[in-house]
Amino acid sequence: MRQSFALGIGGAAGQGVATPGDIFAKIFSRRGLHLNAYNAYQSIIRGGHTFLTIRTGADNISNMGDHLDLLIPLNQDTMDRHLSLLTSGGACLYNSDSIKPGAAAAGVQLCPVPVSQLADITKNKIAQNTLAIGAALSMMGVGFAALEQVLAEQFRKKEQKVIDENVNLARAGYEYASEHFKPFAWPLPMTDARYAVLSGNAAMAMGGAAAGVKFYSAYPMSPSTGVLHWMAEHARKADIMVRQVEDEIGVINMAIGAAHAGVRAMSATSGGGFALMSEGLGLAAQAEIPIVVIDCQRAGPSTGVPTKTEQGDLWQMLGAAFGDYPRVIAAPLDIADCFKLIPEIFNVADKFQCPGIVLCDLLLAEGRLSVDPKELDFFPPIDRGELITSNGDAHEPYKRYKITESGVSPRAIPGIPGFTHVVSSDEHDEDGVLISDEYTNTHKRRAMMEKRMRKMDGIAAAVPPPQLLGPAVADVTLIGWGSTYGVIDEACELLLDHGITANYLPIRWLVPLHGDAILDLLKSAKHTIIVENNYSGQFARYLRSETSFVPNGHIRKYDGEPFMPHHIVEAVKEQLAGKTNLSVPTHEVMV
Amino acid sequence: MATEAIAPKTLTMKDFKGRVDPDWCPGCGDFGVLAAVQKALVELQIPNHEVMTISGIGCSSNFPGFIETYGMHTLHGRSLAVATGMKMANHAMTVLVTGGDGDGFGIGGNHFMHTMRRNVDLTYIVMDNQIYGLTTGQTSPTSRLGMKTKSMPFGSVEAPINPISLALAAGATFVARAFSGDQKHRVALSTRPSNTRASPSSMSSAPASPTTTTTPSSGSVRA
Repeated sequence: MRQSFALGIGGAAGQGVATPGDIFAKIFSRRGLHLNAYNAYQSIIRGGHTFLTIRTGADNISNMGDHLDLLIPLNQDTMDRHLSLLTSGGACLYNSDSIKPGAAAAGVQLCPVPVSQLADITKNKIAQNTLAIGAALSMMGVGFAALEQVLAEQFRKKEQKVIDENVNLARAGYEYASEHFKPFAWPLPMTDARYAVLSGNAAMAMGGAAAGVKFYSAYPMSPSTGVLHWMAEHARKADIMVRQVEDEIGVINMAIGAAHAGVRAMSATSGGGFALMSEGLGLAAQAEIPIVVIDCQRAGPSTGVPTKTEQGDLWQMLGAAFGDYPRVIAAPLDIADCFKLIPEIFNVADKFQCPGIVLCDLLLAEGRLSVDPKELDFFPPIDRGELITSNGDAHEPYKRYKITESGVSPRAIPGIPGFTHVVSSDEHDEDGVLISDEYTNTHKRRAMMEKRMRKMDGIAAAVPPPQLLGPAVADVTLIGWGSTYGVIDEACELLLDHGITANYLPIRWLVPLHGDAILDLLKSAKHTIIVENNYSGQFARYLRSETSFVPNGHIRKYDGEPFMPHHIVEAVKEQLAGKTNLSVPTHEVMV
Repeated sequence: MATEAIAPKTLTMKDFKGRVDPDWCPGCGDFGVLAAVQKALVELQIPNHEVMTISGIGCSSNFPGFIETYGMHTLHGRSLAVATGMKMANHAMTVLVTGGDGDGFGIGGNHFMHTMRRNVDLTYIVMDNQIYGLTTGQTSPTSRLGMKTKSMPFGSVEAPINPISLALAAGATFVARAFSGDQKHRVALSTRPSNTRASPSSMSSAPASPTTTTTPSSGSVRA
């Protein structure tokens, strides 16, 4: 069982939950600790309930975990919702002037802070936040100097007076806690490691920059907008054309125009925005123009729950743009993978001149995770495929869609003399002439379809099959795709404490799926369960359609919140006991 | 490997003749527009590999197949978006966008407005014949009030848009209208924006002959 410390800060939107979160994240990561931050918030302008969970430790942290050690409610509502979940050893730090605790479990330390005695609350409306940060760090065993430094940075754009005020306030909270509250039994460790803290959105944007993306178009849509923000902020430094445009249809069509001009083009959106891009994706497929589109999935259908996570768009991707065409679809496994996947998928899209789709989700996109910079390759191998960029050699009349054995036709970049051609959304001949223009030749149509689909053989060879992780033989095998990777990994560890051995199969590449390889990996599995964040078991259906494989059971969570490890552990136990073969965990608290 | 220079030669109409002959109906104004564009490129001596002709879907959107330049025959209403991406990625290309009134002002209306205000350096030629021709005759955004078509057999009850004023209101920096039967005027217009680089330019070409002739019913239609 990995050692970790988790704190939860909650309040109404606008109360200032984010800033304390940032401050804690900085301090933890500077101590050489791993951290995971998950913010549960509402699609609301002010009010409601925002709850940020930060979990940290010296060991690898991959998800928000199962419990809180410290609860910092900034309003009564948060106290009411979360206090009952604290277990023995945990503590609750709160403003005793305005918040009253309810019943807490035995062994929970209540830490009332008399804010009005320690600060002039008429001048400083968020005094309770700053006091709480100081108090919390004292209880965690962190030296005050670390906080002082971070506060100076946080408020560096303000006058020195403001910085001093906040530092003094934090110190007052720190000292009050030292005198009045018991420190945590497990003081926060320190290591020499140095981690970066990244959101999935930032990681994907950076991955794009590393992959040589030169054109990024987007329309703001939660939870993908962070990619646009990073791209826009770094456009000049990274030499990328970044455009926010009128709608998602404009987004994908511009990306296609830019890609046809010869640059790597990318965009990120969510399910609804992707729905608008579907037709454009077909243009990229038919004209064989490579582009990469990222879908940061959120709870659907339609506007759905804009700030909650789900893995509900798999079938949209599989059915996108109607018709049969080669493409590649992948779901990053964690936030570091959000970075790594982008150059990889671009290489496949470029080499095989097809669309590449990244199925991310809100959990990764807006979550934050510590990443070892050494893991990230900022100069990944770049394969642009068979491009014709010069007219140097004598050549026969150019055929953009020449029938080849591999199905890949060398692609001339517009502007090169002697290679003029028309690409089209219509079915076409080898030289780009629409087949409908003359006689809709059945042989030509068939040949062109087979040429394009032949590319899937090359794509399958270029993409690795999945791997089974954990012990080769286990009581239960958990199968998941994309972002459930981290929580399933931890659930397997916890299952061992319950005397159940577990291994797991994380799926990263959805198309090509490598169904045969999967069947081979699962053939000796004793009990298989597919874990996913959607109602209908979209991956389970897809796997069955590709391989006829039916698992023993399913664990599906579709309440908008991600899995916690115990959800999976409890579900596995009830399924192995034969109580059910479909477990639907519910989140313990309304967030 | 660098692109090798080509010895300059004088371009003629033959250099711009497409691989396929247009299949527009005899008498269609699009023939005139095609010839005018080719003449303009000859007049300006722009090498055909430096030209990118981008269209949407429709009769007039078949244009790129009939002219020997780089071309993209894209999606209904989306030609301006594709063209914008192309131009931003490669400023050196001379970008021509061609299409009809349905493609441009119906489904393409949103991109039309934004492309005009964006002032991208491209030339947009709309062949406006007040009808959806390729799908055999439905009402378009520029169809006259009361015009009878297959989709509105009792006459259109919607007022047509005015593309010129829309373009101006959206901030276009060169807006012109010509008649496809008037070759000289058309060529002059086609060459002007390329010369002055005032952009985006939007040109509307009225058809040589209307494809449907309808008269409003005597009880006048109220919009």
